[in-house]
Amino acid sequence: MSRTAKTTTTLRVETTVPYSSIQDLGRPGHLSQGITAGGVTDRTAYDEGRALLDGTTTHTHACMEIYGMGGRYTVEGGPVRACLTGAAIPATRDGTPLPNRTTFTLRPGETLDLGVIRDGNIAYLSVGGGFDVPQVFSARATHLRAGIGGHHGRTLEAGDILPIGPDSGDTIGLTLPENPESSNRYDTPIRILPSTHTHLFSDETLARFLATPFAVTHEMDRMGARLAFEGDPLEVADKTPIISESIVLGDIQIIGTGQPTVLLADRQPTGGYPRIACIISADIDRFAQLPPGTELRFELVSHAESVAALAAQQAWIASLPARRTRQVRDITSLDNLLDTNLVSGAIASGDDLPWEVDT
Amino acid sequence: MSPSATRQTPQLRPLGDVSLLVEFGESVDVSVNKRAAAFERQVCDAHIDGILETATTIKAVIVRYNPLTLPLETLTRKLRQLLSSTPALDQSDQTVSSPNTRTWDIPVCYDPACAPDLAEMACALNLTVDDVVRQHCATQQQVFMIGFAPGFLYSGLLPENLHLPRRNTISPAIPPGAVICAVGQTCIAATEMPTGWYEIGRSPLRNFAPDLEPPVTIVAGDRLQFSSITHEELQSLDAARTEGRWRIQQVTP
Repeated sequence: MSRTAKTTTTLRVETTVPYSSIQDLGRPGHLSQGITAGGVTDRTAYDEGRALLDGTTTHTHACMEIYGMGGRYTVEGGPVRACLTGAAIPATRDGTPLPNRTTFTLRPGETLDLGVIRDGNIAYLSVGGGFDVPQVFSARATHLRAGIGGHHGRTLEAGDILPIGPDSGDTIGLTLPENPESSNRYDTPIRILPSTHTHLFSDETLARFLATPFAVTHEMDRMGARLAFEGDPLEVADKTPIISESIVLGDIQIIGTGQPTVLLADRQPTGGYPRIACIISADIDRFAQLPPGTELRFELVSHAESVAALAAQQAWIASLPARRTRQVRDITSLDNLLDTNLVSGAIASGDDLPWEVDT
Repeated sequence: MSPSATRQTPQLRPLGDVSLLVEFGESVDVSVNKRAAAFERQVCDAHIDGILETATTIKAVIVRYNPLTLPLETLTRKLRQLLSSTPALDQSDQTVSSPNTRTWDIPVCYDPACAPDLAEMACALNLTVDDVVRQHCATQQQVFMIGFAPGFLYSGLLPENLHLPRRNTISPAIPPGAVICAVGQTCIAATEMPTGWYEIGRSPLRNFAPDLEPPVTIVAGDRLQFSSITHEELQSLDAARTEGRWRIQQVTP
């Protein structure tokens, strides 16, 4: 039932605001060339999109990563299966609201409008077959610092036409439940481990760091997120200039003013500002989705705890395909019938219920 | 360099939960960096399952790994085994390259048009501009790391009388090919970026070319020999590079 790629299917960006880009899992393996792996900021949201569309998290299809606000999009060529994951984003197809975390079809001539993100920072538009931009060093992710990958190595602009790869799946009308842990995502501390320069801070400063409530600010992009707090600047005990050293994902860097910045997907590979701690891998996605103004605290954990949390997160992601459920809808809706069958090519009749399309 | 710069026993320090830093010393030092670069090659050659990527920095090697398939304890044990089999480097040897070391000829235009901060640097050092250029080209430099940005190389160490701190001001945008100098080191930008270092010249080298294989030619552990070229020669080499007729060359032995 897979759609053959006899014509080129594309998504046209009619309008957009900064700062959307094409992303996948990034390109590890080039760190010694000064290129950090990059890739999606919120890995869990990306995996949810893959699970929803194809029931697997094994492929590396590229998606559209949307910060803050979406735009208007149309497709040309063939119908496109799509879904929205990550932070909540209002969506309409030709003016009719579409739910998040649910697969839908966008047909040629239809318009998809995405509004202002709420309850988070970053939304993901995934499409069946993925955005088929050229691979650069084995990945399609846009690396903004390097100006490579994605659509001409840059964020998306109005008028961009994005090729979509052959879609091997045909499921639509499936939805994913929220992760039960996401209900208290604002109240749970962000867990940290020591990093490059933790030992350069005094015990008193480290204790103050753990006791301080920080606030997420509007200063956030793919490279990092600035935090605000009240109190004296966080400073290293020894003011000897620091030799530039490796930066890792989630590093909490203290810049000259004593303010912390959390370094994210497109971080620079090395830097000379001290890093007081590092957010554990399992909490990166949750941190990246804390909206501006959110109060957060850091909690120091053990290496074993962080690895256990990572294993639990991976287990949750692996279980996503099995957690998909059929969206409960009015089967008499003509739109739902069209939704299913224009993609699958089947004609709905008799017992062939529109939602019976799971593979 | 001080004889005590390198640690007898390198320090292994986890950074977060997916990275481990193997630190060979505390200072910017050619022998510390040589040990790090040699160790990174050893780690790569060992092909340890679960290691995602490695990189040499000025004084360390960073190892990124998957702790779910390669527990930290196992990684630490394997790296310590490699460290114990690391061939000893002659720490007194600061200039002579090992047989496998690549040395690159780096043409640099020190013309005022390409060197906005050269006169300021010479003044701060109490040297003439010609003295600075002559000494900058006098000794081969070791590439310490590719960091900060794609293809951006750090090298050192310059003769003591060329050492000076960073400037007090930030240049918002130096161009690709800019040769910048401070704290005894020379960096060459491959992309436009801000800097607080002295911009003292321009090279036709672009150490990040996404269309070429490999995209980054010069790597940590290589050596550099700077040579002074005129503005006309720079323009000619820039044009040749753009047309694919010129790439950076190794110094012929």
